[in-house]
This record gives sequence, C-alpha cells and structure tokens, in this order.
Amino acid sequence: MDPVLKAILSSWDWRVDVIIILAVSGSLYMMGWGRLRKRTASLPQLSHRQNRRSPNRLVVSWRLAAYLSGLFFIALALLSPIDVLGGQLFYFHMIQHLLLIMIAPPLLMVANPMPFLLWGLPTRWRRRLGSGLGRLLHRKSTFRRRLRAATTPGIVWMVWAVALIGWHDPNAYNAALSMEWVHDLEHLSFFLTGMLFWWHVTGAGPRIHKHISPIGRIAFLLSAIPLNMMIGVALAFAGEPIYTYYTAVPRIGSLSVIDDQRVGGFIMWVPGSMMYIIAVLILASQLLQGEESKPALPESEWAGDEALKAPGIRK
Amino acid sequence: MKRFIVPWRVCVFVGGLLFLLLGIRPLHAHGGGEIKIAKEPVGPYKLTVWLNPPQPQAGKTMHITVAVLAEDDSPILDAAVFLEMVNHDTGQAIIAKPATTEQSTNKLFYETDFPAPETGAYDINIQLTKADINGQVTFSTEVQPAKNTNWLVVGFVSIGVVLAIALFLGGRSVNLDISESGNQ
Repeated sequence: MDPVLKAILSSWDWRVDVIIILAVSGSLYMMGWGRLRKRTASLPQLSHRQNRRSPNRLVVSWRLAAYLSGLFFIALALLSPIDVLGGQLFYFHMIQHLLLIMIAPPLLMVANPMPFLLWGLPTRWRRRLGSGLGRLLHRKSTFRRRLRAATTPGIVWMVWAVALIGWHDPNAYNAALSMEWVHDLEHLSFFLTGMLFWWHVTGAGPRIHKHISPIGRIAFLLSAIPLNMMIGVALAFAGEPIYTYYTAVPRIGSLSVIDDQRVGGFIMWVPGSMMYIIAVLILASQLLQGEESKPALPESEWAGDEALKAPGIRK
Repeated sequence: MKRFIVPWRVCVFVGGLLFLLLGIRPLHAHGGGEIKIAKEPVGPYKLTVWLNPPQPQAGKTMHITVAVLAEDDSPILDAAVFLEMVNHDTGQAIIAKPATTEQSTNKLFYETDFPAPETGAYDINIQLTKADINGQVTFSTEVQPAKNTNWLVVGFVSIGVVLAIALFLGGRSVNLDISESGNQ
C-alpha cells in the first residue's frame, strides 16, 4: 500500500470522551429498546391505522438501526481521518460538518431517543428521572412553557442560521483550526442546533410544541436550503482562499488551496442541500400515502350533478 | 406545592462523568496550534512547524507538530526529526527529544509533547535527518508563568449561568416548584 495512503487511513483520533459518550448513549438506547420490545411483544398486533398510537409502533427495528447509524456517523465525523485531515483539507472539514449537521441529527431524532434512553436506565433511576421529567414537562409547568417559547421553529431556525453563518466567518473558522477547544465548540454548536432543527421535523419526544402539519414541516425543511446554498455557492465561486489557515499547511495530493475550497463549497451547496430535499421527498411521500389510505368518496359525492357543477361543495 | 429534587446519586453520577471527561487526555498527541515556521527549506525538503499552545506556560504541556514535505509538497514519512529546546540566554539545552509519526494523531506529521520548562525565552531547534541530508530550523518562544485556573471564579460563573437558565426556564422559583395539580 502507498505509505501516504496508509498514513491517512491510520490517522484515527481515539478521543476517550467521545467514545464514552457514544458507548453510554448507544448502550442505554439498546437496553431501553430491548426492554420496551419485551414489554410490547405480548400486545396484540394491530393494523397500520389502528397501530398509530400503539407502543408496537414505537418499538420497531428501524428506529434502533437509525439511532445506531446516527452514533456511527458521529464517530466517523469525530474520530476517523475525516476529523484528523480536516485541518489540511477544507473539503474534509465540510464533510465532517455535513455529518454533524445533516446526517447524524435526523437519524438520532427519527429514532425518538427519549423514551428508549429512559427505559435503558436502572428501574429506580428511570422512575425518579421519569417522574422528574414528567413534572418538568407537565403542561402547566413554567419550565415547559419557557422551553417551548425558547425553542419555537422560528427561534430554532435563527439559532441554526447564526451558527452556520457565524462559524463560516474566516476569523471564527481559523480560530477553530488553531485552538482545539474552539473546534470542539464549533462541532458541539453545529450538532446541537442540528438536533433542535430536526426535533421539529421529526416530531420526536418530548413533544412540547404545537403539532406541525406535514406541509409546515416541508416548508421548515425548505427554508434551510437557501442559506446553505448561498454559503456553498459563495465558497465555490470565491476567487481567492477565504480561510488563510489552509494556505500555510502542507497539502495532500495535487489539490490546490483554491480548488480544495471549491470542492468544499460544492459539497455544502449540492450534497448539503440534497439532504434537506431527500427529507422533503420522504415527508411528501408520507403525506401522499396518508391521502391514499383515506376511504374513497362514494360515487354520489363526486359524480352527482351538483358536485360536477361545483366540485368540493357539499349540500 | 411539591418540590422537584434531583436525586443525589444522579448528581454524583453526572458529576463523576463530567470529571472523567474533563480529566481525560487524548491517547495520542493532537496537532493544531499556531504555525511558527511555514514551509522553510532544509536541503530539498520543506518544514512546517506548529506550536500548541502558542504561548506555553511553565509546567504545562507543550505540543510540537512538524510536517516534512518534498519539493512537490508531498509528505515525507521516513525522516528522523529531533527537537531541542535551548535557553536563549545561557545556551543550555533543556529538552531534547525526537518527534515521530508514531506519537501523532495525524500520521502524516511528526509530533511530540513535553512539559514546558521554567519561565523565560527559549529557542526551539528542529533537526531533520534523511539519508545524507541534515538540516535545522529554529524559532523562538517565551514561556509564560503558569496561570492556575481560579476554580472559585469558575464555580461562581457556572452557578450564575445555571441560576440564570433556571430562572428563565423555571420562572421565579429556582427549585422548579410546580403545583401538585400538575401531576394529576
């Protein structure tokens, strides 16, 4: 094997703090999923429509797969050569951000982690924490009201946008590459704002906000694309290196600093925007499936003389 | 009125976990820091050197990362890199040790770390040896007196932040009081 390639592939940053957090949250989720599955196994199997609010619908294999995939992508972003080489190649850094903002958070949130993590705890802890959370998040609690006010879709969008724009400022970006704690802060803010953003899209627990209709969720997702696209386009078409840190570091391969920046901008612009479009398509297909499953109108409702004159108007 | 109290075992667990996480050091030396020498030629090669933290403090860990590049900027991985920290005034070598790719996280770089010596001005010499090529680059740095973290201030600031969040989220009561009817 080429020694440079071998060196790249063996550049893993085994951060114990990240490994512990991933291992603890992964174990708790798996234990909780297993316990809930055991409890719901005896429940009668219901049809898809009847099953909408049943625990059977909560404990499904795809949620476990999604959660573990989310953790895998966090590990890939923070431990693998993607993280280590992000200091030399801008586009590796963009891939890392893509994983932390657009891949890991939706996978974790679609897995609805809260009930599973609670059920993963020892019984006494679960009861205490559950009752505490129950009080904190009760409909009449001030905490819930304030939390709800602080995390409305509009505020979450603003916070997400500020994080995205703020960290792409050259000074903030260069500081993140020079100081490890700033780099960690950057990743944490991307991940947390990503989780808040996808909380509204997936409707994961705790459900403290007003229900957002599928159309509203689609609009929320679409609202993320222009900003993402603008930053990506600005980077892809910039005439000179914006992030000067990369001009001083050794290059890997024949990619110049400006070409590296163009590739990074393109990654943010096209694959970055595609993630939101894929989510929009999934929501749209669910919306259409919901329409399909509605009972058909009797012929008299739509084929009568009155209906043909003014469709949709009922007597 | 019922008061929500966090169980002490949960506090101990969370506190212990935080302590563990904050106290943990990476298994390998991690690069980054400020570039002190950028692509300076040594024979046919070029050296780039980072120092982390940019202003080292006496007794605290100093981390040095060295990249050795060929003329076409491709990384050289089979060189020998040795560094020496010399007191600027006396000329006495305080620290002498190799930087290797084995110690580094990014295996394209040569890295090493060591505790910074006492306060003062120092020259750091980086010697490169590869086949019959020998050369050296030097940069200067000032070791500052160690600044101990004022845990009292950190504690007060942390409590202030927690109280501010609790006041915002929990209303007037910091103890997150909620009415009994809330449990019904």
